Amino acid sequence: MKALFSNPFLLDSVRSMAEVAVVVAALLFGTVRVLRHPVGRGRLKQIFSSRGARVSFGVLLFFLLIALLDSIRLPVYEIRAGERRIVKTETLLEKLYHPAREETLSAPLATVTLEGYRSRPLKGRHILGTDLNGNDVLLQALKGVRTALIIGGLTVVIVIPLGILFGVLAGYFGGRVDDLITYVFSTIESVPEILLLICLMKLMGQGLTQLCIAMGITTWVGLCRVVRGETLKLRELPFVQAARALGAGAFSILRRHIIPNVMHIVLITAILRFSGLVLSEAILSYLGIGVEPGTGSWGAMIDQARNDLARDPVVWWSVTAAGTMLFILILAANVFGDRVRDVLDPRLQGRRV
Amino acid sequence: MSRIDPPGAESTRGLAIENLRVVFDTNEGPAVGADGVTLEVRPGEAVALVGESGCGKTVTGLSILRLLPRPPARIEAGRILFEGDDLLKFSSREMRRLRGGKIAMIFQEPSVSLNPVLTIGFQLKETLALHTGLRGAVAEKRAAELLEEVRIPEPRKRLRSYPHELSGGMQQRVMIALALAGEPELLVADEPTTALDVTIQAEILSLLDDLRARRGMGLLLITHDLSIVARRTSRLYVMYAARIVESGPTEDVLASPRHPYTKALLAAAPSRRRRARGLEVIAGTVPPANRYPSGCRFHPRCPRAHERCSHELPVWEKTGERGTACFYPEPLSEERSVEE
Ligand SMILES: Nc1ncnc2c1ncn2[C@@H]1O[C@H](COP(=O)(O)OP(=O)(O)OP(=O)(O)O)[C@@H](O)[C@H]1O
Ligand SMILES: [Mg+2]
Repeated sequence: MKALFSNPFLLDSVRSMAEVAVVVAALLFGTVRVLRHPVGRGRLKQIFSSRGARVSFGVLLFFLLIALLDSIRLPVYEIRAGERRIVKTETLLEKLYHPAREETLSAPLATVTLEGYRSRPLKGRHILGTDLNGNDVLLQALKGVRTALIIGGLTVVIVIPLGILFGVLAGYFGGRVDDLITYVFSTIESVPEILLLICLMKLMGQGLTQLCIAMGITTWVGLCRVVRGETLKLRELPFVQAARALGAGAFSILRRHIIPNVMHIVLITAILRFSGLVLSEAILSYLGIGVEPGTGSWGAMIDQARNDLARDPVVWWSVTAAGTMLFILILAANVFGDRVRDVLDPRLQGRRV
Repeated sequence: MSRIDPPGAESTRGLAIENLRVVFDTNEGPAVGADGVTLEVRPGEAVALVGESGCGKTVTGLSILRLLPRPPARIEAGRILFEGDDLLKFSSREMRRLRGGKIAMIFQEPSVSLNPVLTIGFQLKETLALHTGLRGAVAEKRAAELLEEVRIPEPRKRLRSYPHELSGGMQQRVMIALALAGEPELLVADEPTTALDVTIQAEILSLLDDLRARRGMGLLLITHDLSIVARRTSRLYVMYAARIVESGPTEDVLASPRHPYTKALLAAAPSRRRRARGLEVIAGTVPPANRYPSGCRFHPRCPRAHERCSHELPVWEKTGERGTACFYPEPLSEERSVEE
């Protein structure tokens, strides 16, 4: 039993499950909350009445499915000296799509390795070719999905409570509380984001969760600012005044009257922020401070392109695959986000046809 | 309560505002929201507070519940006595218990006075839990009773409605039901019908009147419309530029106004009798609250202003039930009939 818990592979699987579980739990929680509210249900119907929203949501769901498959880790056993031992773990995705490992670069659908690399016959066919280490590019691109979704999703999950809590407190109470919170987020904002991220990553060490926390710290300020502004507006509204006149205390006003009425802004901001976060990961990996090597991320693949594109013949497949996936995910997220904003943002109401 | 009422002091019961002065610190200097306001609402009595837009009616109403935004508002002087206690000395916790409890307030715009994302039932039950401790099925039953009391048809069904599913009149009824949840002894109604159609206006006003009579609750009806206060209120205060300029039994004041402002307001009010002649509009405009003129604040617009009015503030003069702040008031009707 003790051996099981000290098993590094087990720890690995638990962490990989936990990261995705947090995101999925938050998604489910949000969906249930929206569905339980008739107004929310109506808005949801309105969002999905557009074909763009349906298609982009489908794409996002498909990506989520890939990410889930890539999160469930199963042990791989090997019998050595008559003893069954766990040698490594493999995700469900890797079990389903199991391309052979080659020695080095090969072009898409090629039968031999790239010229100049001692033309060796390949063990299998690779739709998108292989990279310098002989890894299948398609598998890597698919593995990047999980990283991207977690980067966007987990960070948003960290950002939302922070942004709401501090934004609402600053906006509602004003005065000293507001001064303090505004001071904190102005300070964070005044440091160039990338520098702050580098510092935080150096402090916490590399890793997917660490990266999400670091990006959470740099992005909550944006949400906080928006929520604070909306709260300033809401607290002057008659229904908040009326609630106060009926004896409601600050806590219940925040809980019942302010927070539910800033949720639409939080949703819009979170969904539109998502794609920005995914892009940041690519940039950070390019700078070498993103996720650990071997996690499989589009950023790392693009980073690799620096060398690949200088080769002769040009190795374009890796960077193209990563770029295309990134493009599809961000396009889908933005199309969906725009639709959500169109439906939820009262300032756009009436401008729609 | 161990407090002993001083002999014959009616004023220890109900609400009595004494010499209230509220100042707003604005960028354009201090603006006076209420200045020396003195008024009284006895238990079970309906009292009207009337005046043009910006004269300080809402400021007065909000200061009773200490709901003015601070900053910019500052209560500089005065006392607000409710059942003998000075509300200005209450702790914020005592104040919270009072709001929606013994004193409730409703506002002008029912459509935005209810939380759009919560059901009527939820909002009612929340308020009931706060002030009566009722919860669950008992609270649900009480909530339906309250809706019935404000004459909302199918109360059980309405509990599950959202505010936007109701008409303006119905929304205001819900607001009234919310205000009644804590069994208030005083209801401050700030222009409760201004946003509503004329027919619905009358229904809401008679509902308020019935509730007041049935529950023995005091009612302070704040309005800019003199035509709605007759027969519905027993006494009337007229406010101009943050000051009370005239008070007295409603019928008497309407029949024979003493202050030139009341007279002008009455001439401008649309009543059946006067409609045919067309409305007279009061000449000039209300001065801004940070630049009130010296002397009697009405003097620049007053047809009867004398030299003295422009630099001396008229003192409050009380004649029996009636009072006015004017150097040259219209004589009381009895006096006039003697003179004539
Ligand atoms: N938050 C505020 N900040 C600054 N000045 C204010 C504020 N609220 C009210 N005032 C001032 O107090 C004066 C009285 O305002 P109040 O709202 O009491 O008028 P009112 O009689 O209720 O008018 P209305 O019929 O338009 O409701 C206004 O002229 C305004 O200048
Ligand atoms: Mg007002």
